[in-house]
Amino acid sequence: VNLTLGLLYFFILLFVVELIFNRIQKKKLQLLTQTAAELVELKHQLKGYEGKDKIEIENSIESLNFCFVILDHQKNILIANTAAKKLFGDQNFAHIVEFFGTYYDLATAYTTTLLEKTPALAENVNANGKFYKLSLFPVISGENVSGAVLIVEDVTDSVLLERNKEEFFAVASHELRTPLAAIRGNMSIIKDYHKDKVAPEVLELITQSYNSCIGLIKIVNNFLDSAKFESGAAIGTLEPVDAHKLVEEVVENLTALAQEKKLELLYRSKSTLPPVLANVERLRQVVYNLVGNAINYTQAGRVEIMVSQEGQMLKFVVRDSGIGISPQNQKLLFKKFQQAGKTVLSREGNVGTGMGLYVSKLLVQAMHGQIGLIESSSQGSSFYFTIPITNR
Amino acid sequence: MKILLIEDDVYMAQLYINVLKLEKLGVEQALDGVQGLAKLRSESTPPDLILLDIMMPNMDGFRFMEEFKKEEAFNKIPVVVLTNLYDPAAREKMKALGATDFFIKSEQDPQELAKSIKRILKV
Repeated sequence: VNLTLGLLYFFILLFVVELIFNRIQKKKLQLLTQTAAELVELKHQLKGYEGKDKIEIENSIESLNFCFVILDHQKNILIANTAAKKLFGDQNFAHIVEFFGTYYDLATAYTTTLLEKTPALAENVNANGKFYKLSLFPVISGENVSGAVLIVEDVTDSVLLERNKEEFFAVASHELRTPLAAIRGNMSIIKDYHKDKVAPEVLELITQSYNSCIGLIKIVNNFLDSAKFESGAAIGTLEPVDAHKLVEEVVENLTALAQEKKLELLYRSKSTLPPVLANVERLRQVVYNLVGNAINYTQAGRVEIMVSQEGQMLKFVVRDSGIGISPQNQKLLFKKFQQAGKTVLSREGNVGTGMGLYVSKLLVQAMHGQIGLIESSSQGSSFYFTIPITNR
Repeated sequence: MKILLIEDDVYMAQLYINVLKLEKLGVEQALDGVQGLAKLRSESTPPDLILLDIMMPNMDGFRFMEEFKKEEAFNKIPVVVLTNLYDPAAREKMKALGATDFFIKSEQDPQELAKSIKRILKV
């Protein structure tokens, strides 16, 4: 009986243990299954994301309106978008190299890009009647370069627009100035050679017309200059210029104008000044403009020009004894059309569009200097500009 | 003294002819570079000075200068360039091609041109 009871206990125990064990196992399995399902789900989700991103990237590349080509390190094309297929047709690198032919050596650029791990960029490459901008970027993974990305943009429209602009300025300046030169010249001949043949009041009209014509020529010049330099055109060669000599020349040429108004025109500087790095014609234009303005806007007294060295710059100061510029109008200086609108009488009601200062600012900035008003009061105004010194 | 004026604009040409006559200087006109060269090649007595416009049809001033410099018979004649191109680069180019002087039409009175001609011809 004891043995039987013992066995029974044993089996019951075994059963209970197994039951418990089974339940634990079941729970475990359940948990595992759940986790696996979750993992699979997660993986699915991740996979979904990967696929979505890939499609989005592929779609984006396809939608680009410029050519996008990915090359491996053996010049095989991995990806080429529609724009690239349309432009280059056949799907191999040699074909693209051939497309640019002698205009641009793409094969060498590719080798250099991979070797030096630096991008190769080329603007306005002329090929097959169009202009292209080429960019070749190395694809760097870790220490190695796995290939390159080639981007080709058709920039024909902007290149032609820029050319049209330049041509327009050349033609406009020629076409506008020619009739003005004829008007000026003929009136000048009447004033000088035929003054005895015309009545004094007619001569006076001729003189006024002559002066207005010169005013108009200046306006045309300023308009063309500002349009030209605003569009980023180069101002010409920068070379060492003897500022002393240049200012003396301008003073000599403007002395007659100052004397007409009974103004003193003075120039002060050290006898030796270092040369500045400037375009001589454009620098002369700036000096003429500032000194000419000072003479025009001064009714009595003097106009002084001072040139001195300040660090690595030469500083040109033009001081007049005019009635000064109101604080309100000081804000308008160096702006385009400063005398337009209600402030036409900004400086003693004198003639001019005020574009001279604006053009001067463009020119000084192009020569890496600064320009501005130092001060202005009822005692007069002082303007300055700086130009870098050169050691050449 | 004889001057050859190479200028295509009728009004500008008349203006310079007028002022040169007033200054007692003889003048002949050609309408472009091609005509100018033809005149120089055909005439027995070459002019003492050439007034040369830049922007002209058929052959512009730059090309005229290139052709002119090749002609041993008359390439020493002084050339004064007349232009409305207010462009330092054009001036440099003309200087390099051998121009003696440069006159900007809209910036100077024609009397100044006459003065500069007389200075060059020493009359």
